Amino acid sequence: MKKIFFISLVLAIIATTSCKESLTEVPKDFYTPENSYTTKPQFESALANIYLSVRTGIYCAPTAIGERSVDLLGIDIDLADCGTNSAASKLQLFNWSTMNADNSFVSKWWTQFYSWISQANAIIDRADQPTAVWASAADKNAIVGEAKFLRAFAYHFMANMWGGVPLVLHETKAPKFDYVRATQAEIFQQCKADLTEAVKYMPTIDQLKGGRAPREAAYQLLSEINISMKDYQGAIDAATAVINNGKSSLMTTKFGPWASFKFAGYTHR
Amino acid sequence: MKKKRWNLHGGRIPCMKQILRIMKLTSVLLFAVFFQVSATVFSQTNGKLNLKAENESISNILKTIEEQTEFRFLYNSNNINVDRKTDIDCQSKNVEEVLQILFAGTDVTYRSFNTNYVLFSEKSGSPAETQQQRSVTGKVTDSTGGPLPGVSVILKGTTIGVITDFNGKYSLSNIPANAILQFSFVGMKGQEIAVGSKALINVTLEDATIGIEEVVAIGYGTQKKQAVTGAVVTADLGTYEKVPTNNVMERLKGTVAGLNVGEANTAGGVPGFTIRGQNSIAASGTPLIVLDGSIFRGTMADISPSDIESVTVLKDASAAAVYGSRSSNGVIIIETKKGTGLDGKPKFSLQSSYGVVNELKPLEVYNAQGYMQRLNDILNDNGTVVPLDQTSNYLQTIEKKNYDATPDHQPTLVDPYGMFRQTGFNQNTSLSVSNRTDKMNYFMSGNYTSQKGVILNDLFKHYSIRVNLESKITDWLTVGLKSYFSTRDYPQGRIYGTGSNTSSYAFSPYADIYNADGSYKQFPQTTTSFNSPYWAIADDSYNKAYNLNGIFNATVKVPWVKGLSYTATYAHTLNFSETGSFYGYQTIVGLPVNGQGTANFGRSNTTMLDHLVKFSRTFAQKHNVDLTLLYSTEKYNGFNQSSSSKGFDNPQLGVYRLQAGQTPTVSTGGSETKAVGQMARLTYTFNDKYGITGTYRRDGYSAFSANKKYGDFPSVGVNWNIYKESFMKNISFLDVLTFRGSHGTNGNQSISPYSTLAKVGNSYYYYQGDTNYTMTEYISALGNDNLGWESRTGYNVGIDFSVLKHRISGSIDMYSTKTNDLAFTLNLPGASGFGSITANAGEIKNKGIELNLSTLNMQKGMFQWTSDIAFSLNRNKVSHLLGDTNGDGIEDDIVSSGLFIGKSLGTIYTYKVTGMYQQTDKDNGTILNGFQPGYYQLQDVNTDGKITSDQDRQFIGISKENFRWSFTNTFSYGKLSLLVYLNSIWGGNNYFLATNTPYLDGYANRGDLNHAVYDYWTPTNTGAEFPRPSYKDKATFKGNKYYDRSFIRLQKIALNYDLTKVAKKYGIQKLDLTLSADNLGTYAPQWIGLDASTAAGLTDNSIPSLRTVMLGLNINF
Repeated sequence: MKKIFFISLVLAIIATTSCKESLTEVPKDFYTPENSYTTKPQFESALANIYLSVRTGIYCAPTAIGERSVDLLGIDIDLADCGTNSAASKLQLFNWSTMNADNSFVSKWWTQFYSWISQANAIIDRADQPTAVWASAADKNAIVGEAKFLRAFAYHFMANMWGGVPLVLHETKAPKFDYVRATQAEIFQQCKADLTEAVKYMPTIDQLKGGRAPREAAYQLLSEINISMKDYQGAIDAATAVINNGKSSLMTTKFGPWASFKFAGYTHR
Repeated sequence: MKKKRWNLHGGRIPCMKQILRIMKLTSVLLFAVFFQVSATVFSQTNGKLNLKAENESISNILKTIEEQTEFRFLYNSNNINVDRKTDIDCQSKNVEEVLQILFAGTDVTYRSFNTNYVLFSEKSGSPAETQQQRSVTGKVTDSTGGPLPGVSVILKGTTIGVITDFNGKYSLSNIPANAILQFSFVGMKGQEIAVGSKALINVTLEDATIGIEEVVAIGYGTQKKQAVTGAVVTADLGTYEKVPTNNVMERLKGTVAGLNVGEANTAGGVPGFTIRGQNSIAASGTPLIVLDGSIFRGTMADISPSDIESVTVLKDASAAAVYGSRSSNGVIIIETKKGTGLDGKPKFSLQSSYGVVNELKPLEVYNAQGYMQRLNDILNDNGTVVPLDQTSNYLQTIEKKNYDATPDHQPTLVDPYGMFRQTGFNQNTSLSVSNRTDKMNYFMSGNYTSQKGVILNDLFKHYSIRVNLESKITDWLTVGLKSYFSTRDYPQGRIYGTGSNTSSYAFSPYADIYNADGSYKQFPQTTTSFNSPYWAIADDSYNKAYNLNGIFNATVKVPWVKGLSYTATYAHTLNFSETGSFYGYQTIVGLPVNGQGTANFGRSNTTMLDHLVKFSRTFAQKHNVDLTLLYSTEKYNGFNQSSSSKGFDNPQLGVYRLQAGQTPTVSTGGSETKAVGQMARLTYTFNDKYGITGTYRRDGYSAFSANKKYGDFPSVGVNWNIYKESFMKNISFLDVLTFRGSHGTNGNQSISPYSTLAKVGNSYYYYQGDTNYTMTEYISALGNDNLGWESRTGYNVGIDFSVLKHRISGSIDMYSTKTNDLAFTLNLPGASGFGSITANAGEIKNKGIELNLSTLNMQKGMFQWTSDIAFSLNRNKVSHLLGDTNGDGIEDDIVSSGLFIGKSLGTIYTYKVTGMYQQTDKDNGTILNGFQPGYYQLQDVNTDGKITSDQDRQFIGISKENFRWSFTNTFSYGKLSLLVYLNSIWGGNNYFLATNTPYLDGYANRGDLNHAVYDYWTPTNTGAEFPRPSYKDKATFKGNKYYDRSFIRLQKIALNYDLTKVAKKYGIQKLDLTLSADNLGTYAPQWIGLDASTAAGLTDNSIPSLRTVMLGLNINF
């Protein structure tokens, strides 16, 4: 009797406590890619993050003017004022003879462009996964098209700055070190392919709030790429699509926070 | 005579806390366990025995009863023939009846003391014999004054003798006048006393110097010391038993070679500690703490030193391997006390101490005259040539006003730095009650600690309550609980007045403390570079931690398989922490934002469940097998919440109404981990001469990468008790000599939860015209499927020895380890879109030697002098890093991180200071370009006439120590004892180097802020130790001089006086008083400044070390 009681006690303890533990981690206080690329609003958030970085990195910081960090890109003048403290470091951009991979300007843009490409790749890849839920194929195509525009946007800078660079077209999911440089022509070709998709599906400028690239921007960039590829008819066609859509026109007055800016002479040598 | 302890540490084994002293009157091992014993016995709960044996020796029958019941038998085999074989078959008899059956027809009688039965043969005499003419009586006590029952008192050269009764009393009759009495007892030093004319001989027996039979905790169980194969050291807490200490690390300091304990210089501070060398670059070096069998989640300040029964340090890879993936920094096993009684009554114990704390060496700050001179020197050095008597024109507005206020320029503040210093105190009180009965024992204690440090607002309070219970529910089931509740309370950010812009060192002698309205001035000497330290103090701040821990265990002795037991241990720890602060208008933080408050709350919950199966048995008297199997799971989850707010119209309610601020914010977070461990350990010993232990542990931990969830940690160790070999018997001076050797692998579970998972980050984006942001998302971290643990593999060889009748005993260990797969930050190519991941790479080697020595130097009458020496030396080498990344065929150093292949961690690679340039160097043209007189002269290694970072830096030395030693002496004379403890860390040969850079402090070249007095160069003080004031701002190539931190310190002196004899009259069992002093003197020949041991020099962030004088009281009643 005692033996039975004894055995059953030990068995009961073991049975209630020795279930196999799963060591898989379930995140508690952060989101994971698996549950963050599933709905249209989430994909739009992912696009917004690239826009945030483009706005901050190329055009201006979203808040005070004092924080702006304006590099050369995207501003059609040769030299911009870069804030009082960092002026000297920006001047190194013009010492072409000393520029190398350790130059902070060079390495900054290299990683910046690939960051956008990587984010765009994540959107493009994950839009096709079964976890992504789409109301319609049009919704999905519009998102993917916009991501492809942003990818081409980054690659076209790279092709112009470095010529050929490694062509990464899928999300990086594991550390990789053996990147191979593609040719400049291959980069332009990829840009053209992406933009050709983009102009088919992206919303037009009248359908969007400011702060987001419209189809017209894709046409404009496609036009630029076509010029680079010496496909001048293609460039004309793309530019014509923007000119003739009746939704956009040239700026005729100054705009933005610098609308009243008066040029008072050069501040740097 | 040896002490045989049933005091099994570990809490999982049915324990007999009370040390059962088994008398051994002959050298014959009486209680050998016979495999063939056919007797079976089962004790009923009412104490009745069923016993059946055929043709079995009486000794075996008694042994069998002992093994399976709580009864113990003491006898002299010279007088009682226990080898006689007999048959017995009885049902439901009590133990007396069984003894009557066994010894029927002989003259053997017995007396019982609780469950202990002492057997006598009439012909050898008994305590009751009184009919003889000449007799001696007396009482035998142990060193605490407690009576010792069962001590054998023998007339030397005969077999005549008696055994002391339960009160330690004996009586011997019919003895010759020249008789010598031999007193002996297991685990005690024997004594011989000539009777002479004495009729009363009271004897106090001392504990034997070395207890080779002592059992040591080895993790998930215990082992006889002589069977241990690894470097396992049980700390000698006895030395410090009566000396008041603030925490257990202070007690351990210097007792175990290879356990390196640092310094604490704040209230509630616990010294940092490591075991052996540095194994890792990035991961923590803190050893694993195991408290009562459960992984400890708390700080050492939570454990009251007076609750601790034993501390064992597992130093080498093989011993620590039972803790697998967490053990690469070594393991410290702490067991708390179990119940003991005082003559069967509850034992109350009170320990109380009060101490006064002062700065070891106060920092000297410039007085008014020195301040003016320094201001003048700085002005001159920076090109403003001013005569000294006109220097006052360069004082700040407030300073100038105060300077001119009196004709002789009396300072307004005589000792400004002193306003932020205070005399601290330490107060510790602990009260415990404990008792033990046959079925139950308990230990309960309450502890209170209050400390005040030497810098303003440095306070600490600690309360804890402990309840330890153990109950033998049936003869096969024992359940126990060990639990504590602890609270710690510090004001947050408690060191005020150090650090550059609020340093109390910076106060000018001519500053104003107060505004006209009595409030503190923010800028006491006008300059806004210096805020009054009072403005750094929060209106309200707190940092409280509450820990609740319970460890429950149940041990089942499987009745029908001898030696088999099962233990389940469940431990639950709840940690709560609350931190918060409120900075009102009159604070540096609160002023610009109109008040700022923060309140944080954190909770963590850890549960651990261990299943432990043990089998221990000796076969054929020689083959001892000990098998331990473990299945362990541990779960942790934590949650934290932080609220903060700024902009208070009315700050009165502080942190209790953060919503009164204009911009309240909240954030929360949490994490979860799981760990699974399986371990098997098999120990086989042959004849107590040869032993081998093999351990295999497999650990899984959730934070490891998907592909590396599990790790395997094997180890093996052997030992050889060579002194037991017959060929060693002739070496008379040798008592013990044991060789040990082991090899094993450990892990460092240094990966934080979720760090290998891909994560999504968020930010905010505003579309045109939007006033509300849109949340953005991006993949912020790359998943890492291949990150595992750092693993340490190494061997250890050691010798344990004891010579000259145990007067000198000790151990020597040598070890060599290498740690692979260090957690390194690996930069990824930019094309990946990610910055870096943590990867496993590199290798670090450590080797070293350790010596522990205990000696009995002198014993003459009532005087005794014993010493303990610990010595350790460790050498470290980086053998691999990230490989050859620049393709030159040689593995690359990582110079920016100070990591060099083939060199130690802590290697200093920089410019070498070879002296100070003087005006003559400038005049002669021997000064390097860009240097000035009063600048450090740097060695131009390639002699190209200029200093360049890639050409002229060189290996200066190593910041790690060369070796450490400590030397503890205990002198006792009767009731007085004196402890003198010296501690040293030594450098030499360019080891143990550190900089001391008062000349680089933020305001070193500012005359409007004060500074600690230091010897700077001026044109008239050319022999100065440190460069000129302008060096910091003007020198192009700055070098730092390195100083050797070697020191020898008189770490502790304690004088103890035992007042038990006086106190006994008042019913107090034990009373002693201790006066102790810490840090009485330091010899540090090379160091300049506050304290070599903490590397505090003359800089403005130097925190003073402490000197404590304490008076302590121990009472048992």
